[in-house]
Amino acid sequence: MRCFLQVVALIWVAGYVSISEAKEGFAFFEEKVRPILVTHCYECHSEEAGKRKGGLWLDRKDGWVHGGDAGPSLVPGDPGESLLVESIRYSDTDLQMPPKSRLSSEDVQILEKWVAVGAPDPRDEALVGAVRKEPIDFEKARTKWAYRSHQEPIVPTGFQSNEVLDPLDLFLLSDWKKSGFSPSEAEGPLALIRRVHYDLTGLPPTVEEIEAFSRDPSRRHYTALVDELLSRPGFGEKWGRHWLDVVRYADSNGGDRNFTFYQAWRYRNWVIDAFNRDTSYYDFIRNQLAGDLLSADSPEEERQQIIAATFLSLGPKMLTERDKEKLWMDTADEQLDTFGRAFLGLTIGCARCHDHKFDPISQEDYYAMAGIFRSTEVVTGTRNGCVNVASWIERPLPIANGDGKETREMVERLELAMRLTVEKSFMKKAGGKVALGDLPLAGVIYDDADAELVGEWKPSTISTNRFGAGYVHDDQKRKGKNEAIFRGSLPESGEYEVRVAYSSGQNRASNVPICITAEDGMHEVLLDETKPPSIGGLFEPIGRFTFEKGADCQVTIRSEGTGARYVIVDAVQFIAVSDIKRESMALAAINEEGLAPLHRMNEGELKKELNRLIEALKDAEVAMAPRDARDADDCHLRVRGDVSQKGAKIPRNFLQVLHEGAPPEIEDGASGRVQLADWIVSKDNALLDRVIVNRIWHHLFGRGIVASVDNFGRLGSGVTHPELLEHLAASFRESGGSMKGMIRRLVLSEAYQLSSNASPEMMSLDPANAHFARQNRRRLSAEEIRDSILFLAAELDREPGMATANRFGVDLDKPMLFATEKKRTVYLPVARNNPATELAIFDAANPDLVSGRRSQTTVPTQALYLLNSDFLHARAAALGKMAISKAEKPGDEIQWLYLTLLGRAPNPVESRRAMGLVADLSGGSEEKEDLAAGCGHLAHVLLASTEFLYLD
Amino acid sequence: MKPRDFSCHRYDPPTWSRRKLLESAGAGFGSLALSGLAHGEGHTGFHHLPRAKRVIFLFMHGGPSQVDTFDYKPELQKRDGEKLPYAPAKNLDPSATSQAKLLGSPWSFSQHGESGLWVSELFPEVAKHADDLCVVRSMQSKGQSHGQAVCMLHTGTDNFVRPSMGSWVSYGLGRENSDLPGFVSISPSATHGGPRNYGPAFLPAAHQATTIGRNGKLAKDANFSFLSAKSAPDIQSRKLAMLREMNREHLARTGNGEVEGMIESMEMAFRMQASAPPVITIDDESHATREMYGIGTDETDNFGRQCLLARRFAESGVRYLQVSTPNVWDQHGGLKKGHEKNALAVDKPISGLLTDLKQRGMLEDTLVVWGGEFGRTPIVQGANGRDHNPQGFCMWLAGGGVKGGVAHGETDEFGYYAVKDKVHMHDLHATILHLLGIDHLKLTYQYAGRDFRLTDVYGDVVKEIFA
Repeated sequence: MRCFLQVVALIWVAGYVSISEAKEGFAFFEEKVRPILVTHCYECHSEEAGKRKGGLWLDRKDGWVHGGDAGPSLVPGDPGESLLVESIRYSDTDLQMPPKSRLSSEDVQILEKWVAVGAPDPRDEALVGAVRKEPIDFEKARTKWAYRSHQEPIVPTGFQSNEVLDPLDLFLLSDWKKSGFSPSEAEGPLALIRRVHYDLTGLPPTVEEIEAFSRDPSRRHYTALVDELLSRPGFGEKWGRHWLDVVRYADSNGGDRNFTFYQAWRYRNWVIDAFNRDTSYYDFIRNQLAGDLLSADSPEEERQQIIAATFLSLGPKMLTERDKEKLWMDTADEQLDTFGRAFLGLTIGCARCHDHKFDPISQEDYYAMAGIFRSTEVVTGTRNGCVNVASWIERPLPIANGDGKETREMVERLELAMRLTVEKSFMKKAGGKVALGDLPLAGVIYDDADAELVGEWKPSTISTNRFGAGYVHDDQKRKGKNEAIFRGSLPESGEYEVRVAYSSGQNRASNVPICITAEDGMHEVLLDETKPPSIGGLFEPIGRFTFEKGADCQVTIRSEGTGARYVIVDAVQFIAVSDIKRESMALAAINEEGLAPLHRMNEGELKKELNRLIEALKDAEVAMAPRDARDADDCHLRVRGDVSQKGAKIPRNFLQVLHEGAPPEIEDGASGRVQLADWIVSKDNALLDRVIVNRIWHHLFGRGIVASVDNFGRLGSGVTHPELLEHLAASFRESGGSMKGMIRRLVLSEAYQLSSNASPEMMSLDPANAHFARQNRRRLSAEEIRDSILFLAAELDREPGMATANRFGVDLDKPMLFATEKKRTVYLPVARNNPATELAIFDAANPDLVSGRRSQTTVPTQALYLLNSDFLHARAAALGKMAISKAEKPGDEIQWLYLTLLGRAPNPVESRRAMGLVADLSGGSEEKEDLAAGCGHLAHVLLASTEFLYLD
Repeated sequence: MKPRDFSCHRYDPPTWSRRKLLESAGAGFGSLALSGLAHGEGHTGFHHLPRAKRVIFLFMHGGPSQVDTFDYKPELQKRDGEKLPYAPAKNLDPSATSQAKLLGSPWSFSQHGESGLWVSELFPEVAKHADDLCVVRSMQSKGQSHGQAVCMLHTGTDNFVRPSMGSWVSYGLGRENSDLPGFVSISPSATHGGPRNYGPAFLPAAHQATTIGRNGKLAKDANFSFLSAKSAPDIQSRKLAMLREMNREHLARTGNGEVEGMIESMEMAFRMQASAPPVITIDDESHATREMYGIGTDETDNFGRQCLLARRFAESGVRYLQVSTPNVWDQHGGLKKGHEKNALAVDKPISGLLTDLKQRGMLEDTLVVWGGEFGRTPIVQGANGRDHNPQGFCMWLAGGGVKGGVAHGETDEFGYYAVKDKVHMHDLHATILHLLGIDHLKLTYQYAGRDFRLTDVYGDVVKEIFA
């Protein structure tokens, strides 16, 4: 057999195949190879089984010729280059086939031989169904409603009205006319004022406000009321919260380690402020994507822009991921996914592993965009002194009078401390050396004592210019037989400078051969030990090489061909090229008093210093904003989304369906975020306007014109009123992106002011209210419930909150109890993985996800909370006391409670019932204290009622 | 709008008809029963005949070592101290990989039961149930660190936010008992993902686990939140009477289905106040039963209570129970002391649970699953520890339609990499769902532009272990 195979191999390699020999090759295939493929591979890679995992067919020759997602499966004649062989050898933990159990070694040998002889394969079935799927037709996709540029639909005319109607009402009227619908009545003043107060500020109107509006519910008065509400700080607090839902805002990391984001609040307050100041939506978006990179006119503006970029850093991250490249790619993925859904209503994240199955987003699009985010540095160093637990970038904020040097130095010092901690910890664990006397050298160093010494080497301490306790030399003997092998392991993948230490002298060899095994193979250099080393008189660079994190890297110093001279072996240093500057600064500063003490700290001291700095910076003028990465570059496509399976490098670009031109020009060393920010707000990108206008509509009408507000793709809900949406988007663009203006316009429309009640006929014609012929009744949000109760009990603290999360400590894992907090809910810490119960049960947004539309649930825990929580009991009791103190005559307290809590007076039946309850529960006593207790119980019932919880 | 074939999902606009509301609440907390559907009838229902009605997942947080518990490796014992003859896994701590020396188990193994299953001396009590255990020795998972691996175990992904397995089960099957949640997590950890590991992610919020206790600890008076009334019973009932009247009038004025749903859920809450406490208290359990679970003995009291409570919930119709130890199994150093203490704390309680389930005839339709987020390396880390090992480890299943007294799959001669009949965490998920009567390929939910499932694009049912 062996003899036969060798013959075949020769012939195939020679590229000459006669018919009879091919037949023998086929016979070998049929006899030996096919049974293995059928038994072990067809289950997942054959038409018969209906499975084509990884895009690969193995039941026909064309299958492996075309290959799967990772490219051709084998190179005939070259087993070493064949993925199929690599996978069945089980040598790579990421690629093992068959996945459940490895083949017997006999089977592996047969397949290796088969490939070696050129993979003769008689199976000539066509690749039907196995061809790659149709590429996305971007040309066609660009004509779809979501992706095309701004349109100017004609506003319907011909409707009679006493008022000048907003075009949006005309679009709806035209729809109702076509559908034969009659809209609901205009809402009465009591319900309308409650609705508009909540929708614009998240709080109920006061008794005085209700009374004033009831006296004059005119259109003029309503308009004035709306303008007044829009100018209140409560407006930004209410609408800022909507935005925070969309951008998955949180004050802690979640993920695996729930560290407190001490600086996230600056972004939250920036958002609230942006709504109150009516910042243009386009500036609002640009700053969140690239504020840290955009030019500013003043330190204050620069400061606000850096804070805005916190958007990119806010996501949940798996900080303990040990594979840092995966951590970077996952972080970029999270940013890209959030970016896509929040700004464009597109699920770009779906294209990480393959082309989007439904929408015109290719896998190339994904990696073209991912390159921009991957080039943005968010995670770094270590948060707690453990090398496996990453931290994040923080940036000192400019301060108006130019002060802030101290903070800047602290931030730099923290970064250095984090870096040294990682390095030293790793060095120690990898068997390297830390103690360097007075030389603050960086990187990983191995002493001669760490080396494997082959042959005879003599220890020596004669030269005092040495690293560590001593060094070794070959005594000028056994030339060619001595070797010193240094085996290392490095903390991060990348380019390193390799340096060797030796004591120089005229009797040293001038041509010491040194072999370096790097990622790309073996390199050999010659070292002249007669010359003094250039770095600190101790180390001499011998070249720069790329090494893979954690993989073996090896430096071998030999004595071959060095003549009758001494070969000295003292130490080997690996230093990341990016660290060389830092190291030389530390070396230069070595004699300056009090400088660079970090370099001399041991691990324990460093950890302490690191924690001290984090603590000191938590209340400092610092933002949690990213920066462009040192290795900003295009990124590789990842086959099936697997970080370790690199495909082609994809030039950074924007989504092709929205961008027809050439890829942007990105200067070296820049991420491309500025270009991204400029592109996304460009006026041709109408999708940006459609998405935000729809979000505003959703909040004011209870559902969007596109109900799936975060998904404008094919699996979204579709658009019910395309022309209306086009009209609003175009006018939003014309307005320069005024969100307040759009909100005002919608609130002043007739449609907004319709009653939420409808005739039974209309209810059955349009149960989902897809036509907006009535208002949608809604439950108060978690924030509105808590804020209202505090507000009504006169306990709400109206001052903005600042760093409210910081006093909870280094992480937000302890239970979040807000029962004694008095700030508006938007200012309270949002703990990922650990939401405050009272907010979670009323469907507060999950801060892990983009939540443009909160889910709404009806669960018994809500009722249990309303009935049994200390928070409600205490506030209800306070309201009871207030009612009694305001009452001038019996019965006033009941009137006051109904008006205050429900926004209306009780009818006589309700009054009598309420009085009965108060009398019963105050034990029939006339004492003020007892009556107050009884009124407290009444207040409790009103607060737990569906009437209080729902907004008509 | 034309009707869509996934109309039961959230993308359908809310109509707030009563029926619709109940559906959109995702069979949440009593709404199924209220809607007049039969108890136990679920959202998607069964795809095939279930072998198990419920799952008790005993989660050993931190990652117990396979080669010291249920995966006997004579070769490892023999070559203790020698260098590992092949490359260690990627991304391990260099304090383990730079030496790469084998560390024999400090415990001896022996065969148990008629089946002769190998169990180490760490689990003398569980070993008595050897003939009921199905040890999967070829587990593999994703995530070299706890955060990733714990989320992988509970939610099927190591880096994204996805619904937990219990939430999927609750979503798929609905609830058996209308007065209790379908998914309960007993003393879950706040770390390594915390609530994400029992959360619903994008599924309707009602499928989140109801928790009792925290961080592996179960206080003697642990209770569901807000269950105890703050007022005297007569005051409470007087207030409730008025609340009912007010709400009914509000409903009459609005005719609103959503308001109606809220009213019904309030009724459910009132009923829960009566029905849940008896399940939570263990006062009515006999001394012998408590003793069987190790309750009353310092070392085993806490986990014993957790296990006993799990049985009570299981008996009352809870479908999915997560029972967690604190994050104690992470012996990077001090393997002997640590694993001994941890095993002692759970061995008797788990044995008690198995015995109790069996004698009540519940083991046959209750699937008990034991294991951690990963195993540990057969090579030493530092002086006397082991690093994380998702490359190969073991978990065991018992009852609920799986074979007893068998070991499925193999790791290599040192117990490092799974090599034969590998079972990935995705496969285990597919298998657990299958045992519950759910086809993991069909249990999907549409969110953010695509259909999601627990097993993502992976998962093969391990039919070989079915009884």
